[in-house]
Amino acid sequence: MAVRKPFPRIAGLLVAAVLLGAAGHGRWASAQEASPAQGGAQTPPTRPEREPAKDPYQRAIGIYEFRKAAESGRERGREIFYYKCWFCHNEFVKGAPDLRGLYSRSQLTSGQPVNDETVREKIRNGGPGMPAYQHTLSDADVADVVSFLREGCCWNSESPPANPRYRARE
Amino acid sequence: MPSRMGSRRIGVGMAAILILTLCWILSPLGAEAQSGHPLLGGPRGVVRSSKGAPLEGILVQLISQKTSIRTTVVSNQDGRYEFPKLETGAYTLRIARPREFHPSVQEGVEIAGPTQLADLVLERVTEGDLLPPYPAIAAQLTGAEWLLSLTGTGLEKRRFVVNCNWCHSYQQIFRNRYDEASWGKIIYRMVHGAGSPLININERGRFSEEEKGALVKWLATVRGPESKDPPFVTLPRPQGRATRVIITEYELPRLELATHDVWGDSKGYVWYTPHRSSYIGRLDPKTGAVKEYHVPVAPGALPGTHWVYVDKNDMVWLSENWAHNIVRFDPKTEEFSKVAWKVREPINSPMGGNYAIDAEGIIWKTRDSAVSGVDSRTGEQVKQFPTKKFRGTYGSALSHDGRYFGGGAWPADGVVLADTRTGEVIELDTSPSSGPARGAFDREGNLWSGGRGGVLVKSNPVQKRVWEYPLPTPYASLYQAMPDKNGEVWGGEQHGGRYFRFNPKTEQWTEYMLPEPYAHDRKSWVDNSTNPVTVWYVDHDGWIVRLQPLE
Repeated sequence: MAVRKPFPRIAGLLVAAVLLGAAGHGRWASAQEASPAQGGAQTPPTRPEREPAKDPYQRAIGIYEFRKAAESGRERGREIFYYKCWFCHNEFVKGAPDLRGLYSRSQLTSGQPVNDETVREKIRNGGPGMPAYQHTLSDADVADVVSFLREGCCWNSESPPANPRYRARE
Repeated sequence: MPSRMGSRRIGVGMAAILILTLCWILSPLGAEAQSGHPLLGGPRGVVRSSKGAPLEGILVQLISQKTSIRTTVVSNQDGRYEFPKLETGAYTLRIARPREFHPSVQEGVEIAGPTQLADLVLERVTEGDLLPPYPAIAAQLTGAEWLLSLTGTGLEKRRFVVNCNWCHSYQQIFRNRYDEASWGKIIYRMVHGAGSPLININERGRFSEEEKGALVKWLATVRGPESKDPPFVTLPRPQGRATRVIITEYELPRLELATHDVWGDSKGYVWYTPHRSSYIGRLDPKTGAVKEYHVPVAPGALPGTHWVYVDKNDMVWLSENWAHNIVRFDPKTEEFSKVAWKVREPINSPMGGNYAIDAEGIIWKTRDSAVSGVDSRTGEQVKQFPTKKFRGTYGSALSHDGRYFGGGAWPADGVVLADTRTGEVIELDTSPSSGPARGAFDREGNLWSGGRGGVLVKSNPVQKRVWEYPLPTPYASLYQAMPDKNGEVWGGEQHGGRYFRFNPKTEQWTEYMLPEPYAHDRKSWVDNSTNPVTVWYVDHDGWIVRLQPLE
């Protein structure tokens, strides 16, 4: 990804002038390049493909990777929890365990002790009513969720997390 | 015969013309960027490919480092773009949804007036037609592009579109991999859970066991543990008229609001509702600042508001879809008053979402097999006109003269119209899986409804008939439709990543590509005080969008 610092203004103007002058030539050059290819006389040169960088300003990437609130850790775990866990594990639903205070309990509903390893395994393998997340959440994703369950659980609809992008003030 | 002074003047004039002509020839793009459009006059530049060709339909964006407001314009057929006048300061200059190109981001670009920006040169990721399935590209795909790319029969994709298209993006589904048993558990919850929070479970479900099983099998095939992302098919970039627009996006103070509706007040503020939390908000478009107001919580109910409407006295009306209240908020006193809404559904199941309020304070809705008018002060039903065919409507709208009520009958395929003076009810069928939902009346008395099957539906209570206009983009869906003062109709193409404008007179569609791939528009508001009109919606993913067409 091209991340550039701004030019000094005068230099920028000079460069812009050169580029503007060249822009027309660019169009002619493009037209000239195109005709042999259209005629089939030349094969366009191939170049190695490289993976595009992730633009941190594209919100869709943060959404896709659960990184709207944080890159990693408990806050990211909160976001994954909201999308993957909250719709069953919340204070209004009957039938799915409430996960508030999970780490202060002696055991999971399966009878296993409560610790990072058993919670991780539960997320990976699921249960009678719970999907197995092993193919969807990476080890890093699961670690972030576990961190949230251990240190910050659970979701509070009364206080949704702050948007780190929001800067405007009255 | 001209005097010597006159000759000198002519000579100077000729020289000036020559210099101006030379300037025009030597830097044609810069000169042509002076569009003179009243909404423009800001920074400008050119986008071209690494091979030198001008690129049309590229979304060029400046993000204010002070306010986070994002302003996006679209390059034209010569690759030229021009922003509106922007506040002097530092910005991030980038391409939104570069998709087939490598991203381009420049931090700390100083903007002061009509700054001429250096050319943006974009390099394609691949020379091929289909895009390699890198995560950075996958994240930019619209739901429609996902469905164009994935394998499956027409039936499998149609089943998916008709049943899974309202509450979330397709990206939220296709970024996952689950085995068949896990997909089965997820689909069970989705099919049997009430509304978007899925709290209350209805054992009957939304569709048959057979349909459910077929959907699970398809998902386990295309998004199973071993599934690979296919090469990606993408939709065309905007051209011509669809490039002539300014799109402004505003950040909101909180995440995960599941934002739903917008409406503007007389002071120029834009109000929004959060579907699954307590904070409604009021945006000041000039500064991007939001003032939040906390809606008092009802015990045992998930917080959240759905419908917002600001009346002529600037009172803000809201519906609490899970707590079952109609809320009136006075911005002057900051007081909330609530009227309990009498519905059969248990708390945390939807009460009907959206409503239409008339000049007398009567709130209209079709529910439980009747078009009903309910007094907003007491919650008592004061009018009731039974329906014969449709049990309810999802949409609720009143004609401009207040006489006719109308609403799309989703989840059924039809429209209900009622004459509130005579009590006559008209129930009209629409095509299978068209699913008309929310909408509004135009000034000629037509009701326009967004159909979840990707159809724009017009109906008329006097002519007693419907007209259907399928969207040009495959697999896109509509939640709502909003006509403007000129009779043109506007709406977000959910899963299409674009916002449509439809001219009924010419039947011409214009599709504006949006800077993010969702277009999850549940209710648009048109500001008819501007020329051209200004269109607002809040994306369900959490930001407010303003569209200013240049024509």
